[in-house]
Amino acid sequence: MPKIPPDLLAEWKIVVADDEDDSLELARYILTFYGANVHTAVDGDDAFHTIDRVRPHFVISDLSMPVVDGWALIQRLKETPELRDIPVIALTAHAIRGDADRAIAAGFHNYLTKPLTADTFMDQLVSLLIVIPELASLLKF
Amino acid sequence: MTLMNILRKPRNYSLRRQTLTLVALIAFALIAAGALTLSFVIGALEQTTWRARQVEASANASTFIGGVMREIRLFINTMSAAESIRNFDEIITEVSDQYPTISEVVIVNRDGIIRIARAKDETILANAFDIQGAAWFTTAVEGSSYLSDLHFSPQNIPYLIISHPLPSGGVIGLRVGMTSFADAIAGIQYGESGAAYLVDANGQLLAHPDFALVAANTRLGSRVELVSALEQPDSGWSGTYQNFLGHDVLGTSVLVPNTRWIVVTEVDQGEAFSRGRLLLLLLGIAGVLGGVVLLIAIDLLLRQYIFMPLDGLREGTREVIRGNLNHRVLITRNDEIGQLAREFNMMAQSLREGRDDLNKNAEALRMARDEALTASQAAHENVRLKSEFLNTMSHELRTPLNAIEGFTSILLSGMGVEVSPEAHGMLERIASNSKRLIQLISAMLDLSRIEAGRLEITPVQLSPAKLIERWRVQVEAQAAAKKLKLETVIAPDFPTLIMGDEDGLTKIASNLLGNAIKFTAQGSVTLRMLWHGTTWSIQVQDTGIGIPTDAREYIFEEFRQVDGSFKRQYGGTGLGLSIVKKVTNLMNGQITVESSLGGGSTFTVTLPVIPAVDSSVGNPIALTGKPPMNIAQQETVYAENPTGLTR
Repeated sequence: MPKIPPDLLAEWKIVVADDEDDSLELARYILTFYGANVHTAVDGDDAFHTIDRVRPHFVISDLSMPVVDGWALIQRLKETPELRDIPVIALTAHAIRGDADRAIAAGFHNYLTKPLTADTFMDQLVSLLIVIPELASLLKF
Repeated sequence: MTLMNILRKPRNYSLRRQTLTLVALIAFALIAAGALTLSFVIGALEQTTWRARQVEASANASTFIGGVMREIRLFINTMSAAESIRNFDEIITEVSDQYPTISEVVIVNRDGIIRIARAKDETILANAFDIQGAAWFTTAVEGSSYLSDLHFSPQNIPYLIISHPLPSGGVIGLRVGMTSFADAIAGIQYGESGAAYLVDANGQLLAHPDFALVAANTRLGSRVELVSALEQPDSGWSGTYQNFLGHDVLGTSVLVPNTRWIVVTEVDQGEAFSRGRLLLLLLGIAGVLGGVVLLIAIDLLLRQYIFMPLDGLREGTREVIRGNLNHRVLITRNDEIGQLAREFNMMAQSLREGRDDLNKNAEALRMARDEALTASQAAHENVRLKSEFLNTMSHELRTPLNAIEGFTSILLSGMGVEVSPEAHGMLERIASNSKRLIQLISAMLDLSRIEAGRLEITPVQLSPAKLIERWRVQVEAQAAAKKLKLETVIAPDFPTLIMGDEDGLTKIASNLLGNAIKFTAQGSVTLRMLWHGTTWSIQVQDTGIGIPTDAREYIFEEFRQVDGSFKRQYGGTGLGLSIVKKVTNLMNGQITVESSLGGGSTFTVTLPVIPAVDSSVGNPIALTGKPPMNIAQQETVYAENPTGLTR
């Protein structure tokens, strides 16, 4: 059993965007398990409107999505003053080299690498959240 | 035509012009010399001919005159021999008809008394009052013959007085009429202007076709043509001169036999030499025409045998210059020009063959180049397609496996779902197999990417300490699961920053470490970073089963392990070392292995040191994608939960 408390993310609003249904469901399930209120989107445009509506604590977005991809999404978010401060974590396919560096340069807060598993996903996520002061204080250890 | 060509296009035919000029000069010089010689010869011949004609023409007259004079002498002799007057009279009567030129005969005694006088026309000698004082009497009575100058009768008929002493002491005097002489002289006619005159030993004109000149008592003794003639009357004389009438003439003198008189025969030089001049003119024209014909003939010959072949050769040369190597010179001769033409044709043939070869080679080269270009384009296209395929496959293979792994991990972690212990065991098998499958696919895709040339080596500045820590973290769970001691060592002299491609280096290190752990049952695995100055090494040493000597040749090949049974015992893809070897090659490095069966193995990858070119490139934060403090943070976090990373 994980040592991370099941209510770590209680009351958190999180938007997850991914065009792959399995990946989206996996993230939704794990985050929900830890108490988060997860809103899912299947492309960048959907994600943008969901973010604008929900105003989440943070966003996890796949980079490659149809129509409006992760790159376009982060650009639109950064161009929108009331949304630009919401941390966005990129979700990259393991194999695509260089995406990680480009992602940070493009304005993503950081990145997570697929595959997402019950253990590594949360470990990685926590290590990222913990360095964001306004979020770190909200974590319920 | 040909001469016109010479004049019109002198520059185009200079050799021909020079040759023809030379030939013309020689020809005209020869013709001129010939004409000059001919003119002399003709002149001499003409003169000889004319002299012969003149001699012939004057022969009759001089013979006649000479004959007359001889007869007169015979008459005088006959008379001298006669004894009596009666005889004289008889003789005179008898013979006077035989001597038509004797117009009057007078015989006087030594006192000058006329004894006999006979005249055919008028009486002149006998009528004289002063016979005793007349020259003919006084000269003869003293014993000498006498020949008078020319006299004229009252009828203006010219005559001569001849007197001779008689044995009796008397004198015989004769009056000789010149009419028959003049007629004889006037009868001398030849050519158109040919004429003659008679002079006596003193140069007095005795007879001339123009009687007025005779009547004028003309004396020619001082004239050049007569001086020489009179000096040597026997030998005759001939020459060209201006005569006493002022005419340019060709003249010949002939001595009248039995006398000291001379017949001079003259012809105008104009007539004398007119034929010669005409002949000379004709010869000159013929010579000039002949010269021109000769020149034309020579020109034709030169054209035929030299210039036309030369033009053919020039035309051939021009064609070759223009690049027409198929041109052939059509000269079929066996002389030097024919040989030249043949050799020219051989040269053109040789050039054409050479050019054809070159063209063929060029064409072959073009085709080869086109083929290479097509092949290269196809190869590029292949590479692009392969790369595209790899990217697609990478994504498409991983996505479902990621889902399997993700959901299996949720089931196994008991996150809100309960599974029976049996199901848990099965789920673990599923997880284990999907992990193997992911590793295999990753390795195959890595290998394919390397072989497709899609793995780019991009050296940036790296921290060795962080690298070795990251690699250790990757495998520490695996090592811990087999209770192996995992050590990392960085040589003390190792720089704090080096240039390298993190992805490639990580592939090398993690594969070597993975293998070492896999093939080591107990003991330790040691990862070292060693510094050699111009090179550095990643070294992984284990205390595992070791590699047989004969197996070291093929362990770097794909899908090869030491033998098939190892695969069952140790699992793995068999691609790890192959990837290590290929990445090492890409980085211009070398891999060596030391091993003994049961005594462990040591793999050493030695790489060249890449000098840093731009320090700004090596931003460790950008490279890792994490703030430097992350590792420390991770350690802090997971120190409480080390199993969180182990699986």
